[in-house]
Amino acid sequence: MPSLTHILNNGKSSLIAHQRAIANTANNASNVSTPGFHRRDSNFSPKAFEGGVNLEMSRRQAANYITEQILDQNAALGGAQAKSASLASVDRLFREGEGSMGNAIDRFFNAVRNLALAPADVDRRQEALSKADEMAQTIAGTAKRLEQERRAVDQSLDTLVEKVNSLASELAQLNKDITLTPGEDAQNAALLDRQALVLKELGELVPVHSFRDKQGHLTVLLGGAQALVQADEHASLAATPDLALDGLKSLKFVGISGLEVNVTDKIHSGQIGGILGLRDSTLTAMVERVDALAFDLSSQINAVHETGFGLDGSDGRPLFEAPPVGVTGAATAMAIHADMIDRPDRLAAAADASGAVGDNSKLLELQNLEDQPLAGAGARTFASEVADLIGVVGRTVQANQEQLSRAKIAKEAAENMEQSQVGVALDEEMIDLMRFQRAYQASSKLIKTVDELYETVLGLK
Amino acid sequence: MRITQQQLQQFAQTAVGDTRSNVQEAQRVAATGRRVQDPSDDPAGSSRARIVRSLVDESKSYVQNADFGKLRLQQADQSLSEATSVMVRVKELALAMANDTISQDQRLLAAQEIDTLKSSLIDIANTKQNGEFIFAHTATKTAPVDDSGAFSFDVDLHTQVRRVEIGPSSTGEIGASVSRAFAQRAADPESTDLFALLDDLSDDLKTAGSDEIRSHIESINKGIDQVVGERAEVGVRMNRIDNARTTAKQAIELYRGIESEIVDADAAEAFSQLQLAQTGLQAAISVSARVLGPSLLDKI
Repeated sequence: MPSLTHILNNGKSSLIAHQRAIANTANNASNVSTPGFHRRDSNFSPKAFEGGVNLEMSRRQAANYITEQILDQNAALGGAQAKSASLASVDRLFREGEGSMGNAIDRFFNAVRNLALAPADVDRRQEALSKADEMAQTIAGTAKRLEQERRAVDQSLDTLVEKVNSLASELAQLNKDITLTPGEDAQNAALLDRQALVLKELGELVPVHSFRDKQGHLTVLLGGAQALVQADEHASLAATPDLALDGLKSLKFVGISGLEVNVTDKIHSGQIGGILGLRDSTLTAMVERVDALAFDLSSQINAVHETGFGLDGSDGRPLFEAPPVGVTGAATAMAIHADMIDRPDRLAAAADASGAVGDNSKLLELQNLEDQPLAGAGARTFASEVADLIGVVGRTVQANQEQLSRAKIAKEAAENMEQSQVGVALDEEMIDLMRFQRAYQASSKLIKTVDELYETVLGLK
Repeated sequence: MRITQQQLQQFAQTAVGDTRSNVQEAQRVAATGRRVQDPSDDPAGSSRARIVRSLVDESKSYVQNADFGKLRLQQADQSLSEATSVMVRVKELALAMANDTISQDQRLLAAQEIDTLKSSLIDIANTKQNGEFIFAHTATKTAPVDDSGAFSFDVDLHTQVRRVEIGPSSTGEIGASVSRAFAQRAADPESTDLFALLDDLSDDLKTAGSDEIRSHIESINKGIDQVVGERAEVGVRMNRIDNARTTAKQAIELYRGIESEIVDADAAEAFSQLQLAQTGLQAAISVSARVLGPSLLDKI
């Protein structure tokens, strides 16, 4: 039969357990807005032999597939976000209006057409020459801005790589600390919270997968292949200028063992993946289109212009500098030929030397180029090539915007699921608070009653 | 499903944030009146708008060409009309002088008038506009006829007139040809060199008799026909340019309409979209306020 002391001890254990439970509730409630905080559950269990109640605290954990989903969506979102600022400025670059690329090409051909009215007129010649110059400068300017965007995003790689390395190192350090304090005490729970948060942050930068091994270590794999964090060790990334990439940086993965792998074209999501994709494919494709346009314009116009005669009766002069043979770089190099600068008299309007003054048949040939399918590998006119390019830019930017909002929604949905499992609900805490308070009151009452019983027993004479 | 505080807050944030950005976009459209500004607003539309703008620009330059060409043709028409008057006067004189009752003195006077008429005709053939000889072939900086009435170029080789583009792959001639109006060309056996004709007439008036003078009448008639014929050509060219100008003007209107349809916002729709977006924002705000509000905390 249990003694009075036994009952008193029961009451004491209950008092202590509920006080601790209330403290836990207070901790949960106070961390309601803390990012990454996982709710600590108060688990009561009966004491097996002496009776009374035991309290154990446990940190809630989200199912691994949810964590993986969040990591995936973080990477997708990070990738889209990294591109969006740069793409928005590309979008504005191709905005239509005075001085846009399409407008400049139109103006050049129109100036040629109007020069045909009076091919010997110096003012009209000057006008046509300056429109040719403007066209070359606008196209070169567009290509240069695209190239600048490439350089600018390349610049941001350093900071991001540094961030990845410091996050990886923090994860490894946390792995170490967590195993030093095994079990589910408050200290450990805080470390686990922190680790989950850091992992998500890492997931925004590079695509990662993670799992926890039997020792409780978090293992992080970069892109699902290379081990970025393993136990208390971590690998790192390095961005170094690469001559093969025209001075832009290539990305190396330096494994835990020290083995180096070039991963420049292997990372496709996360902010780093986004930036690499933007730099090496999205923007490059646009630059190539502008290059091809510049190449076609310069070479086609030159081909006609060289066969024509200037006011001085000489032929064989190109209007633009000869574009580079390999097309690459044709746009940035586009400019009117050095011999033509400030020499409107050299514009070739005539088809033969005898008609040097007054013949306009070369101009008719030149303006005919406007209506020929000479751009886009012979598929489009110059005007429709620019239009097509605008469509490509628009679709690229639009696809990025859609990807951004899609990733945002998917990330929110995954986080919602996680929150539902591990987050703090204040109503729940308030109900717990009332419950624990009542139990605490009941335990006090119990102790008071035992005390009265003692008095009764001690009062026996 | 367990609903936590952070979920509620996230929901409110997303709802208000999304609807606010909708309002901003609707505001932009309503304020600028442009549905499509950046290529990403409507990639296919932006692309089509670019082509249409190109067509507008092109058509504008056709109109400019037509306007300038018309001026030049009007000048040519005017000059050829004067040339006709000159030739008619020549014919009158020739008819009057081909009479045996006319004295040698009268014929000498007539010869003088013919000489004057010849230099008028030379001036007409050398009509200039904007510093260019409009009856020259393409060498418009060189006078087509010299003071003596000799052509400065081979009239059999150069009968063409400057062409400019006045429509999509269509060109029109601006100006007229001195070779066709005033010269004798191998290609046209009926043609007469008017300056040589006037020289001959003048010589015959000074030295020969009525028969010789009369023998020129037929050539003079041919010469008049020749000038009138080239003037008719000019009329045809003017007509052609007028038509092209009208077509280009219509094309500009048409393409502008298409462009506007692509890029401009319909005012009524823009404002109702703005209204809708604002209502959405208000709804999001009041729903969020309601959902975030009630809690057990209020009751205990």
